[in-house]
Amino acid sequence: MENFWSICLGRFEEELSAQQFNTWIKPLRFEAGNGILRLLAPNRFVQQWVKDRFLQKIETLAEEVYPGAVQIELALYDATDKKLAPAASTSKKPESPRTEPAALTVESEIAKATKSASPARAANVVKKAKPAVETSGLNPSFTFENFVTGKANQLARAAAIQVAENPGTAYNPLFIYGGVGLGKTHVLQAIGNHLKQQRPDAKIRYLHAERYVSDVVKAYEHKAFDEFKRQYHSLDLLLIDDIQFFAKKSRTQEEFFYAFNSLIEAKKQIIITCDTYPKEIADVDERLRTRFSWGLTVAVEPPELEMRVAILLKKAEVARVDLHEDVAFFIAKQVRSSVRELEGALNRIIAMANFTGHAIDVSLAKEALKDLIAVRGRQITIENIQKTVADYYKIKVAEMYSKKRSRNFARPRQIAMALARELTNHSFPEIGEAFGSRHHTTVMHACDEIEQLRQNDPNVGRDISVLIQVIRD
Amino acid sequence: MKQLLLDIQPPASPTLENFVVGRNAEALFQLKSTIQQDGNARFIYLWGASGCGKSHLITACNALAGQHGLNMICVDDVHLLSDEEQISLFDIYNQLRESGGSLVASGQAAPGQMGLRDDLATRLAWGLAYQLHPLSDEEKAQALKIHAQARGMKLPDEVLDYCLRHLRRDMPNLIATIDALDEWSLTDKRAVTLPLLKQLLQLSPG
Repeated sequence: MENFWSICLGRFEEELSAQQFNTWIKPLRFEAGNGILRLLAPNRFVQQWVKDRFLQKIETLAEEVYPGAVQIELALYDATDKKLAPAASTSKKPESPRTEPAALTVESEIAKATKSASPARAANVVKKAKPAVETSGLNPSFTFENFVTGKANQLARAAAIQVAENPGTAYNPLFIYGGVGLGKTHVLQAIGNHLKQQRPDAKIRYLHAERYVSDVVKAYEHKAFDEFKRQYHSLDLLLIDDIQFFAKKSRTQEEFFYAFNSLIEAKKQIIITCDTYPKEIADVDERLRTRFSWGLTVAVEPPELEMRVAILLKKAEVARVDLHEDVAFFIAKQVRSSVRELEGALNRIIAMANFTGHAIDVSLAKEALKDLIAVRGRQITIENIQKTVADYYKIKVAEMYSKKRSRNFARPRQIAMALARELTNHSFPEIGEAFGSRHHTTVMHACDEIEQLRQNDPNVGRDISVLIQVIRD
Repeated sequence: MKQLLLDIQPPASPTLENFVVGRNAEALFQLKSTIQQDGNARFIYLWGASGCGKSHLITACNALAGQHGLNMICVDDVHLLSDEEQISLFDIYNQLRESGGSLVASGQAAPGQMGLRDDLATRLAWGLAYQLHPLSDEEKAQALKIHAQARGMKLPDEVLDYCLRHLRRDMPNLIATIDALDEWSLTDKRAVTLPLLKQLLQLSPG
């Protein structure tokens, strides 16, 4: 049966790019027994991906090789059980306890249960973890009360409240568009939560467009369109997020067209969000785009400075964290693009304050934000160290490789060598080579000497910290 | 003909415990509390140049997530994802957020600096983003000792010193050298010594 998997591997290697093959197919482990072919994925991400894109192909291949009923199971493998992999099972060495991480000695009953669970059970865990299809998809934490309003979104908010109060009659559909991370989902969810509070029996469904696409695919595969239609056409409120994901999905668009017509006709409310306004949506049917602008179309703009500050203060309040206005202004000036990044910045600052035990002030915020908005550090090379140091001491770069021993040249050269050692991964011999083919012991000597000077001569110490900053920026 | 070595030595699996922390204490702390589910942080993004420990941490978290049956997904190298894969990760992110799951991801740069889709990048920035800082030479030595010990390999200080002086000091290269040295010493049944290392370095191309 191993043979079957090598056929699969061969086929996929031919058809996929090397990166795709290495990412998705190669990490799979193959097991066979009792008429079941089992594919074990290293994580849920790979598992899901293989299930969505490749499982059908694998099943087809299996049918060719084993005519008749063959079952294929897709599950997760426990990464710590590498030792038990077929390749290693012939090992004469007893399993060594030292490869077990210390943390596992306190593992819970659940952990033990999962460890001994069959792959099939592990797969169930994944299934269970996903939200059930029947749920509304609403997250009660998104409300109108905790939605920070400013010039950028007041129109959208007003329209949303109108619709939440008078579903199906005010504006239908309500189409909300704007860039990423500006709170479209929050408005959408808030409408749902508001209506649910007013009418607990209302049938409400929030979902991301991508989910709708996969629901259509599933209905198609299982020939379950009646059930699909029953589910969607009987809603009182349909909230659909990021409709731009319908692009090029003609089957989905067709199904949505029917659902749309049937809901609007029955005066049921539809609310749609998108990253652009209806006319501009790429690769979506004209008849859908026209329908999207039947009701009201409102934009959500990026928040201005004051609103960003207000958002931060509100979030801090919810998190019960003391955030001074000057710190909020500092963060808001650094992070402009989206509310999501703004929240991420605040999360990171709170986490750092908790970890270090320091109060939240501007300098802590500055430190924490480095991780979020720092541009990727330029690759530091020996060449740019040499150039920076030469410029700093106003000598020619050529003196970095020259044999001249005068102090005016030798000291900067030594500093550059020490910085190359500190700031790059190059070895002593490589650094020596880059400085006019000097012997590696010369570099080692330079590093020792500069280290001494750094500690004893404040001028050298200051020069070096300035240089490090310039090189790192 | 050279004696081929039967690959019976299980590779030392990366764990959170054998990660040499360096200047990354806060990131490690957050990962641990995410796995123990005792903090608020469910989404962690780690970034940094290659060799700073991203894959180590991702692999370690993935193993723990498996053992503890967590609804957690670990994704390494997000900067390499194709457009389609990015949409898939985006979708998975939304599902995890909805279902109370968690995500640990890594990439080469801060979320907004890799040319990822905006909707995915802002989501990675939404949780906790940490830059991983590379280890100092002393910390690298410590990490290599731990690595050698986990392989059951005796690594004399002089060999370690020589590696740090004469080799490129990025972790993948250092670890690969130590592994090759160990394998060679097992194949040839010779102790790990400086002369053996020098011989190995001459053997390997470049």
